[in-house]
Amino acid sequence: MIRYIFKRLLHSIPLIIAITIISFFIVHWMPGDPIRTMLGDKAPEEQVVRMREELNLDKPLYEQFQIWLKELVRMDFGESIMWKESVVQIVKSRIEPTFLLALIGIIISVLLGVPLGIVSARVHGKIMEKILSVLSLLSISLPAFWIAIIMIQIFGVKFQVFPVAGYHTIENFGILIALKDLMLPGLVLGIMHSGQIGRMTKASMLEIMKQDYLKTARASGISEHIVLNYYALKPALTSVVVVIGFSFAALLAGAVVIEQIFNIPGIGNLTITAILNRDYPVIQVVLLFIAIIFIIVNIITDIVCAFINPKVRYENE
Amino acid sequence: MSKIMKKNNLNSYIIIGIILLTIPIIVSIVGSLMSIHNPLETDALNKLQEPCVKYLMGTDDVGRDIFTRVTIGIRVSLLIGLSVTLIGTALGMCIGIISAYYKKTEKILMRIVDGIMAFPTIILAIVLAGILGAGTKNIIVALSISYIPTLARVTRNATLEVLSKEYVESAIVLGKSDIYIIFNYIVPNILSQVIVQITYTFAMAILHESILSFLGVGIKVPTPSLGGMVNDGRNYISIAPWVITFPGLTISWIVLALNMVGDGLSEWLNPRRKNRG
Repeated sequence: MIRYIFKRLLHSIPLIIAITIISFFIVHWMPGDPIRTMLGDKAPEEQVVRMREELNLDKPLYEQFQIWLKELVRMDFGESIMWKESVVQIVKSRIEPTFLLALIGIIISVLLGVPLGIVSARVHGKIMEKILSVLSLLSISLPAFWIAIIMIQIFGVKFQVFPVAGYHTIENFGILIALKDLMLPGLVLGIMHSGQIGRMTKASMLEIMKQDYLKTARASGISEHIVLNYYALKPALTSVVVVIGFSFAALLAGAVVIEQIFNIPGIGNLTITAILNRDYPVIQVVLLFIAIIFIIVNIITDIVCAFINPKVRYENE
Repeated sequence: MSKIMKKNNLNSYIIIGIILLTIPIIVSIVGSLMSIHNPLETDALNKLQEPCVKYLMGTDDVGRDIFTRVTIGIRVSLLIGLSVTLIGTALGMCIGIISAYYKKTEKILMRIVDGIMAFPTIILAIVLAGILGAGTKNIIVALSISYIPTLARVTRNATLEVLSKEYVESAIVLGKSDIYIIFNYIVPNILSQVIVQITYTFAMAILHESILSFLGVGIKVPTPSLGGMVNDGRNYISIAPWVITFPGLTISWIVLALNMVGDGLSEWLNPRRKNRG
């Protein structure tokens, strides 16, 4: 097992190198002069030159890349252009709501999606399956921002069950108020991802139900109920873990849009504000951060799978 | 492939999906031919009008006719979706086939693909669109780049499967050129798998374009876009719900139709893979 984990970690090193390079160069691909865009056309020339020096933008690209790598090692990426604060501090302060939101989203989407998948696999070939598959298709196809606006109108404005915007930090207001703020956005996020989880769960359930050992179990006279709920569900658990791992990244991405609508000061909100204001240091760090999270989640998913299913472990060792 | 097609009846999802898809296309064409309103013309006297005979879908906060704007929005969305799908598919298939066929290129190409794939698609698209600036051309570039990795990966897996078949091996032994093998043996045999991904990509492109436009990094105002119209109508939802209802419904309709076609194609063309979701 330890060998597997070690090997898995080793495999992610080239990927981390790749995303470091991409995060750096993506921003330098921008057309036009970033300083001019930031300061406006009327800014005096000396201010432009000074700012360019401050941000090291006057140096050749490879030197800038070296500086970026040094910053990476020291975990200090300088100051944000817009907020004049340490980039690392800014990103840190935005992590809490995003993770909490993704967590609520994942819990809701698993609670809805996994039963949806199991039931659809069970009624395979019946009309009920068609209805359920259209439902999960709807959840994938509807634009989340549109649903969010409608949900805000219904639950926030009309019935006033949930707060409609903003976020109160755990530190200052306690976990309950923080959770209440994120309930409605989490609900939207969860519903919009439950379809994908349902589809994946259904696919893996159907795959497993074809296996020979289930036929044997049925032939031995074990009731269908036990075959499905015990013999089939247990191996399906591995796939569900994969689904959850996969969805976490998708949810994190979905949170970007949801945060913007609900005005939650999270990573997504930060990304969009930074992009609209061309705050390069922040964009670079946010991109790197998101990709690293994505890789970590993938590694954890793989390890958990290997833990549940020894076959995965032995094939890769 | 043709044998499989004959054996299976055309899937009902494909038919329903295509019918659903033609409706907005017809509405868009007929609407722009018959429209009496200018999509950009503001009219302070007729702002936030309810849907009626003169304004089929009502008017927005500055008195523009929503129906006319929706018809243009459909056209813009479909054109962007189509361009992105074509560019992404062409490049993605090239990368996928090359990396599978020429083993030496695999390491570098797949590392890049994996690297890009570590960024969630929509975030990558938002960042790229933000970097390049709003505008139709830039959205097409941003979305195409975001989808290439997935398409490359699907193509590569399908190609590897075909390469292990005996008829390809015999063609190699017979000394056929690489180009001949790729176009006569590989491309026709991977199409059935890739075409499903292409359809989903089309659906995703339209959904993502609407997100970009909604967030303000998509299509430049004042050009009507379905996502942008939802954003415009947000603040008036209590007094004028039609402003966001119709554009949102249109996006959902088109994306649902395309996803249905994708699901249908996947069952029809790859019966062995049936029930994949």
